[in-house]
Amino acid sequence: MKCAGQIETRAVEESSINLDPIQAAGRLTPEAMKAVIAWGDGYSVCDNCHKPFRLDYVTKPPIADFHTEAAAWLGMDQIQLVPGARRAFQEVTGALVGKGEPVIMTGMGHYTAYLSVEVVNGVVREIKPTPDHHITADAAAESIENAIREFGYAPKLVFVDAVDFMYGNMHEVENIAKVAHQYDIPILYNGVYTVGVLPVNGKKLGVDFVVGSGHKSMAAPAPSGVLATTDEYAEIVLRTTKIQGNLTGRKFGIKQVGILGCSLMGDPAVGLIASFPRVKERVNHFDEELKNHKIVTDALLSIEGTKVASEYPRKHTLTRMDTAESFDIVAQTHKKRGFFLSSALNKRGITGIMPGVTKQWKFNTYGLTTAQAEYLADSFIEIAEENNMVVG
Amino acid sequence: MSQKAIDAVFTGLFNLTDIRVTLRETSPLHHLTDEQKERTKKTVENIRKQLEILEGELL
Repeated sequence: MKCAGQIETRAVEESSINLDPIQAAGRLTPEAMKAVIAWGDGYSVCDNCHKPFRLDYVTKPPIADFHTEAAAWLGMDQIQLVPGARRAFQEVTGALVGKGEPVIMTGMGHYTAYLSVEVVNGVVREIKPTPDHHITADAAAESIENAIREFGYAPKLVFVDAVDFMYGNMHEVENIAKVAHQYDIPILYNGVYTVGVLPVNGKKLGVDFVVGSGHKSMAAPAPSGVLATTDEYAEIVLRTTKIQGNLTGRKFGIKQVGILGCSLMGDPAVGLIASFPRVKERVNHFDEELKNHKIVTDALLSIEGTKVASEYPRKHTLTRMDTAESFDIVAQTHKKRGFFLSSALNKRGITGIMPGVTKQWKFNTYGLTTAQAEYLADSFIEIAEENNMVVG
Repeated sequence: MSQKAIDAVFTGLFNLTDIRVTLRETSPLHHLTDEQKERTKKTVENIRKQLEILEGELL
């Protein structure tokens, strides 16, 4: 079914259980789905934009209120809507990092974090993950010390992922923040898998920036996200324009420089705001998400040879499985080779696991109902039994 | 301007969205619980009402 021209109607979520690790917590709430119907026109949020003509002052729709509430919710002083977490990274590096200056990054960071350093001609120095795929405060301290020896001064910024995209492991942000601050280095909490999914309080964590992704974890359309910070760093990173045209004398009010003025409009902004009440509530029920996740991991672990490659017991619903000794052995002789698993899942209305991969693969059960988690668990067992694997 | 027609269009779309949400919550089998069936029945009735309003206002 086409929705326009050659564009298919996307009905993945209506027809399937979608396990794609990056899509799970970005699925829209009913409120956001309704809001995007009404606010899709380009500059829709500008209907009631009055002096001082800035997005975060708009009261209809309640964008101003969102800024106040979301900053408090994250335990930070100020917040800015951004078109995706990557733009928040870029805004922070743009304000704090100069040419050739070092930034500390976890070795498990998202590529856009690296690019946000590259775009300002900065230099990345990584924190080495432990063999069990964790980032520790000790390793962070070592990287900072190494950078100081190499550059002769402290790095300009530390990025830390609360939960990484590779394993869905949780990292010791609070301790890393303490280490960073011992060297007077600001720290950015990359919460793209936590903000909107589980409780996050930047003040308690002792971080200077909290970055969240609307489309990854706040049930919002893409591109959307938030950059929250302290009053101290807001003066630098969220600074307002001072530029003036040399011939015309034009000035641009209180537009924010780092994000080039009004940052997020239309459906991404209104969708994120529409989801916000439900998102604020849902973070308090992450334990229920973990229970549903356990139904699935327990079923997978009952298949002989299957392991969880992520930390275990699980603390997040994004998990990397190791099935090199189970599904991958079947793949070696199956007529569909490695595609047998995704094919068998697709037959059962399950999608989102990378086709053709049977050694290690990731999935995310966030947002599934218990009935869906049970169906998923039963499906994995059925597929194993169909392929004469030992279950028990 | 027909405010009634405008309201009916959005109400209908929002009601359809509620059914879309039920499809998502019950995918892939779409076996609805009795409560979900009852809720969907009421929603469908409401969509019919919106269609009647649109016929009355616009046709």
